[in-house]
Amino acid sequence: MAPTSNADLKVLMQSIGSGDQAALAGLYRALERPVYKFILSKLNDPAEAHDILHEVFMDVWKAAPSFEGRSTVKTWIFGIAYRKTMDHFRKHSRVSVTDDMPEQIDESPDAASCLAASQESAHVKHCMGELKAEHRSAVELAFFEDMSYGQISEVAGVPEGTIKTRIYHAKKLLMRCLQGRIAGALS
Amino acid sequence: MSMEREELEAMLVFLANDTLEGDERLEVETAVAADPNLAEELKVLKGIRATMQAEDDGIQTPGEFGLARLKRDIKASKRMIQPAQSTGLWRIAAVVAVGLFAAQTLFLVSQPGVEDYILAGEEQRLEFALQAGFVGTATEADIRELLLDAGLVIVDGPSAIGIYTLSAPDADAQSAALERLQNRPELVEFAEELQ
Repeated sequence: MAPTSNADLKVLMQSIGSGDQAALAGLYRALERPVYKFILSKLNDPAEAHDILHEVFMDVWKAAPSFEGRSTVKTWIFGIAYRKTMDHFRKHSRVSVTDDMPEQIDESPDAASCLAASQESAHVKHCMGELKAEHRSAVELAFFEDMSYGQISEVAGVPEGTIKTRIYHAKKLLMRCLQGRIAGALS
Repeated sequence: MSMEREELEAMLVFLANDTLEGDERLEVETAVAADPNLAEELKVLKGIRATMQAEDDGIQTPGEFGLARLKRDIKASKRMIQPAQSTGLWRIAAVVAVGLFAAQTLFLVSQPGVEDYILAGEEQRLEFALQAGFVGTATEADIRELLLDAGLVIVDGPSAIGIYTLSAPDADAQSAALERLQNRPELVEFAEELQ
């Protein structure tokens, strides 16, 4: 079974720092999937996501000797993935800033509609896609990876208050969007 | 210090993913127990989380091919061990970033005569109002210049999570100001009409 606790991953990091390729393979097998999924959700291009994942683990290999364990291994690696993905966005001038308000259905999101829509994968995927990259990342790290706001702030390299602001805004947009999807389906 | 409404709403996400601890958790749980709207939102957020986590199936990761590529490239490249020399620079950058963030958070402009506050927890509405958050690196001078340029005044904030409530004189000015803010992503984290 792949190691998942931070203590196990830290042991692997120490071995990688000493040049142990088998430990790198262990770390890769443990974290490849969540890191790849995180990258892919932003790029929506499997080939590009493969390349960035490769770069992330190359960086892990190179930087392992300097890993000091101040953050968890997972947070540290997601931080590398986050920066690489955002750099990719900037280099390719991809339009990542949407965050447009969906058509307003009501002044406040209706909880029953939101609840129904929240259980439909297509609706959630669509509404997540409406968020700009930084906001989407915060929600994904919270809900895919179950990270705390402190960990997300380490990954994104911004203050905790910024993460709370992003989450507050993203949550509002998600609620409105989900309500809009249900209202749209009914009309 | 108790949380304001906006921070409470943000914290629901971390109650939904079970990462909230200690006093913060207690405060949010107490608020949820007392407010049916927050309780409903929490249900929705738990639903979103469950749906997102169940979505995992079907994604093809590079798997062993990716690992083989990694090993090949490591073999091909001469390994470079980075000395831990940049720690000092990062410390300086972190101090500067924290300072800028603190300056932004402390920025408060009082407007004599403007009494249209929306107090935390109140349903009172403000005409031609916007809500905005600024990036952590935005300075007080940047924010002031942008708000003056957009014809906006601060009527509330910054909240504990850095959100400002802004007011425009009329509907046209509100739309124009919103566009101005949204066109400055290097300073503005988000901007929207206040519903």
